[in-house]
Amino acid sequence: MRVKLSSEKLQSDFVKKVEEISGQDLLACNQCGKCSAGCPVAFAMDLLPSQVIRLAQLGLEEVLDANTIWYCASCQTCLSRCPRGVDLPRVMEALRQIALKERGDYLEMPEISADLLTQAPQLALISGFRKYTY
Amino acid sequence: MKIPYFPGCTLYTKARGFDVSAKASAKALGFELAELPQWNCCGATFPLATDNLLALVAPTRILVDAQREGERLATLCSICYNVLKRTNKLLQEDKEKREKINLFIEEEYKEGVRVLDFLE
Repeated sequence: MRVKLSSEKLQSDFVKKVEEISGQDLLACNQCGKCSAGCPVAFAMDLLPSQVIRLAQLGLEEVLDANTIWYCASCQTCLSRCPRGVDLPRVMEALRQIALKERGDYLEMPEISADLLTQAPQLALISGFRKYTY
Repeated sequence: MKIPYFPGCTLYTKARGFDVSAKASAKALGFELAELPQWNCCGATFPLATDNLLALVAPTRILVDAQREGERLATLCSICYNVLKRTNKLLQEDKEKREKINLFIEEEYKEGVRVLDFLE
């Protein structure tokens, strides 16, 4: 992927917002890749967890288009493997919040089929609402 | 001996059998799982965004109800366990957030409840 970098992007509101919501220092990540190597859902992701944090560091908002932030199950495997102690699940959550709030990319409850509503465990529905709505 | 117990939604629906068998095992081992007199949904996810206090209100209410019943709270569902234990840790460590949530729910969470999994 070819992208243009600029100092404006590196210090953009986007980067600040991600850092504020997640409470993490994005530049603490030195791209070792242990998160991606251990991620149990990495096979389904179009961007690996380490790539997501790289794009976020560089202030590239394209990161919100990746399916990674939605596939992330917040299982914390990456956090426990990270030698720099970056809480990547929190970064993913921050990106999700931005995608939900600013892009309006959220789940509309009436779109859920009656079948799913009656068959899915309540627990899955509640976590789904928490993750895909705001 | 009675241990306060939080069943959560699943133990009454999809995992009815687990509830029955855990209570029976507890009885055989000489203690009783005493369900909280009133309880609500645990919220099913622990909020990761630092500013999302609202999602902590539900699990905090459960912990407040639990502290009235005793020092411990047993759970069977692994998600309830996860959410309640992490909320408990946060409330014990972050005084400012604890006070904010206390004001919001108009109850007082004090330190001291221990969240346990049934196997513990």
